[in-house]
Amino acid sequence: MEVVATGEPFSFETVFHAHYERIARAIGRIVRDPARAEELAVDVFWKFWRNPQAHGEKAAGWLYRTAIRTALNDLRRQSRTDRHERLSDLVSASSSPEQERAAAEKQEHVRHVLSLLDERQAELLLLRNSGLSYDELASALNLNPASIGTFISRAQQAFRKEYISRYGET
Amino acid sequence: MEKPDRNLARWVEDRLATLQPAADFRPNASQALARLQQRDRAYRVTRRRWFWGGGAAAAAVCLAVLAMPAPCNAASSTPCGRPIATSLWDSLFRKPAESAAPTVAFVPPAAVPPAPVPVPAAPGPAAPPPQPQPPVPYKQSGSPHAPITCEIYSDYECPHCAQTFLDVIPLLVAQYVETGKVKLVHRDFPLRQHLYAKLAARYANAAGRLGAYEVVVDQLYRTQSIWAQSGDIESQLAAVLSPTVLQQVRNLVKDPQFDDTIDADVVMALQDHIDRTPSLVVIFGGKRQVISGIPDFPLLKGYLDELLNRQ
Repeated sequence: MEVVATGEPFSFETVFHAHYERIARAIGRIVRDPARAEELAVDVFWKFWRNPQAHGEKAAGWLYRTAIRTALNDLRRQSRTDRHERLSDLVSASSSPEQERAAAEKQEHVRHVLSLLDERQAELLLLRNSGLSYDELASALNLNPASIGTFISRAQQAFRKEYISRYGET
Repeated sequence: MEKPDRNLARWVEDRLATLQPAADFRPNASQALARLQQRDRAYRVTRRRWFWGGGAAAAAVCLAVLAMPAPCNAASSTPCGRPIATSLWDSLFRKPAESAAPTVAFVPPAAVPPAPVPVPAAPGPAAPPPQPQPPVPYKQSGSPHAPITCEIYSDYECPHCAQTFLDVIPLLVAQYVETGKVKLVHRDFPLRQHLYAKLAARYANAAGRLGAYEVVVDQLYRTQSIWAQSGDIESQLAAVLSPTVLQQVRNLVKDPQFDDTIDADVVMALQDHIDRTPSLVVIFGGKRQVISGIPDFPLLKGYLDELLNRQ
């Protein structure tokens, strides 16, 4: 992961161009709707712009953590407000090939389980899945690097337990 | 540290791997940057509006404070009922002669015989206290044998006095004066900062000579905000007096020999160390109790009832 080099003058545009696409994609994995993902990515960079404390060595960690948190919040909000609408979307997609429909359904299951998990555990799983190392995770989430493995393991157990209880081993 | 369960990790990763953005998702960085810059401009505009809006609100509050009527206080240079802003302007830019005016409200008219002015206790033999003129009957109401006498010092241009005369005095008259418990005496105390207060008092006293005191006092207080702007008192009195009576009142007011009792009332006020309007002097058992400002009726009623119970 790229970081802003220490001692160099802060350039928002440099950070933006270095991370925007990856941040938008990370959000897009969680919220499905590409347009919404870009909106949220702009929100994340806007918060970053207005928050000088986030500028510096840990800018990348801050951006990913905020992106995942923002996307999860949006996912939970959507789960609460338009669950019926989303289910009907899936039904309406039945005209597409069966495989595509199954994949979409599986995505929906994963998203739903993530929205039910403890916020920190969901963030941890998604950040790890985005490719952050243990050290980067510890930095982004303000955790003790020595405990990251334990936290990830617990998050994975919680995810699997919740998933299986709802959808089985599939 | 817990030993990572590779199977568990793979199981979870497999499921998370299904989360892929749409295949045609191409984040548009330049468009996003433009939106950010647009949002920043909007933010700055909003912030500027808040800044100027806050400034405007603060200015509005200041103007509202300056426009508030000042309390009626003879010792203060702030005219009662006039906006504080006007008073500030007057105090900053008025003529030196005006600035040198005494702090006491009353300015005796040249045509009126000078009334005895209270003199501070001078060394040597004590001067005899000034003999106040007995109030003429039209300013009194109630039984002369009432156990309590209430003297009310007021200024016709004072908004607090108007409120007192319209809200408190009618209740006082109905419950205490007409029942013989209180004798009510009106006394004039025109404050110097009120341009037309003394003229209004002269109109009221002239009307009193003609038996129309109460109706004129009531009209003066009800229309105070109108005539206080221009000093055109007569047009307001025309609504309650017949043309004949109004002409008689007009003649009396213009008559330099007209003794309108204002001077005597002011002397009484100075003896009681009254410096503001409205003020109340309650006389009971031979003692004069001065109350600056007139309390609301329930409080006044409690006080009067307590005095009456002492009898």
